Amino acid sequence: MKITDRENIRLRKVGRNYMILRESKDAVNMNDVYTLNETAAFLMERAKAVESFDEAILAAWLIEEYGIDQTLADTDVHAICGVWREVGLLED
Amino acid sequence: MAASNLQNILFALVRAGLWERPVEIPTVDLSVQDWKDILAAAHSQTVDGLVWRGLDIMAPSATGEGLELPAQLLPAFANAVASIEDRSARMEKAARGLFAGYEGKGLHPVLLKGLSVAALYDHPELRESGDIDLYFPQDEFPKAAPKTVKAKADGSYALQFEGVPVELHPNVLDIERPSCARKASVLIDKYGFVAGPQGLRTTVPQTTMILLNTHILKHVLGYGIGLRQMCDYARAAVALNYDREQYRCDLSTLGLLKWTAVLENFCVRFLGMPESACVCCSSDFDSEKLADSLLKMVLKGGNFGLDARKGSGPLRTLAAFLSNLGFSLRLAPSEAFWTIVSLVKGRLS
Repeated sequence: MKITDRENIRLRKVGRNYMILRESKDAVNMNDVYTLNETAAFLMERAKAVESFDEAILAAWLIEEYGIDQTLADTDVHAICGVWREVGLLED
Repeated sequence: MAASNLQNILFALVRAGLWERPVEIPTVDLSVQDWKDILAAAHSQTVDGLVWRGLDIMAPSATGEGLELPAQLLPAFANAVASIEDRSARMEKAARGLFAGYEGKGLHPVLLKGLSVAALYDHPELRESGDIDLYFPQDEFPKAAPKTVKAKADGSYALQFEGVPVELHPNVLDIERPSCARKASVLIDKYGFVAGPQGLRTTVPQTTMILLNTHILKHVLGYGIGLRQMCDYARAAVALNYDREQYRCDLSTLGLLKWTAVLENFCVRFLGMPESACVCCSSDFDSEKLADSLLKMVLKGGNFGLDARKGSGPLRTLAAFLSNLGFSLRLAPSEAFWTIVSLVKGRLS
C-alpha cells in the first residue's frame, strides 16, 4: 500500500496539534485538513517518504520509536490505516 | 473579552513568533469568539505566520499553562498559513524569473524589502509579501520600464509577472526632503549592493536599515502603518550585521534621529526587540508618548493602513496626511513638510 498523492500532502504541527493538509479536489487553492495525534503524525511522516509499505513495516517503525510491544503496535497501526483508508489518504 | 486583553494576547503571540522563544502571557480564559477576533486582527495586520509560530511555541505545558487555538479553528488557520507558504514560493520563483529576464537584457535589478526581508526571519516562507519591489539604477530604469504601462505619480511602475504584483522603482529610499534625498542618494552609491540570501542582488544591511526605517516613516506620515512592517524593522535591526554607529550617523545626516527613537521605543516595548539593537536614546518621555500614538495608528490601520483606506490617490493620501499632521510634525518635521509639498504636487499616491 502507499500514501495517496503523497507529493501534495503536507504535515504541519502547531503546539500539541498535528495536521495533514492535502490539496482539495473541490476548492481551488484550498486544502482538506485532517487532524491527527502524535503517533499517527510520526507514521505519516515516514510513510510519505517511501514508495510503498505494509502494516508490518509501520508496526516496526512504532516499536522502534516508542518501544511498545508487538501486539499494541499491530493494533494501533491497523486502526490508523483504517482511518487513513476511510478518508482516502491510503491506497492499496 | 476587552479589546485590550485580546490585543495583549496578539502581541504576545507575535513576540513569541518573531523571536522564536516563549514569552510571558497574561492569564486569560479565551472563548472561541475571542480567538476568532485575534486571528482576524492577525490577518488584517498580515502577521498570520508569526501568530502560527507563536502558537507552536506557546503551546500548553504539562501544567496547562500556555495558549492553544480551539480545535474547530485549526483547519481554517492551517489553510491560511499554507496559502502564505504557497504565495511565498510563487513570489520567489517569480523574482528569479524577473532577475533572469532583466539580467538577460544586461540590466541590474536590485530586490528591495519583501523577499529579502523575509529571509531575515527564522521561517521566511511564513512572512507574507505583498509584491516584488525592484530598483534599477538611473541609467537602466528607462530600459526596464514597461512600455505599455503608465508611470505612477512617484515615477514607479506597477505590473504583474506570473500572477505576482511587481513594482519597479527609480529610487531606493522614500525620502521627500530634497536635501536629504540627495544625501541619501550619496549614501546608497557609497554602500552599493550585495548578493542576498536567495542569491538575488539586494541592498547592503546598512541601506536595508535606512530603507525599512524611511519606508515605515513614509506610511506613518500618510495612511498609517501595519504591525508586519514594524516586525520587519525589529527583526532586521537584530538579524542584520551592520555598523550601528554608522547607522546612527546616517540617521543624523538624514534628520531622522528623533523619529528613529520613537520607532525603536515601539519595537522594544511592544515587540520585545532587545535594547542592544537600538541606536538612539529611545526611553525618554516624549519618545514613549509618541510610540503610544504609533501603537494606536498600527492598531487602527492594519497592513500599511490599507484596512483604514477608503479609496486611493494623492488627494486621499493628502487627507490622511492632514489628519495626522500634529503627530507627523512632532516625529519628523522637515520630512512631514516636504511630504505635504509632494502631495500637493500630486507626486505621491
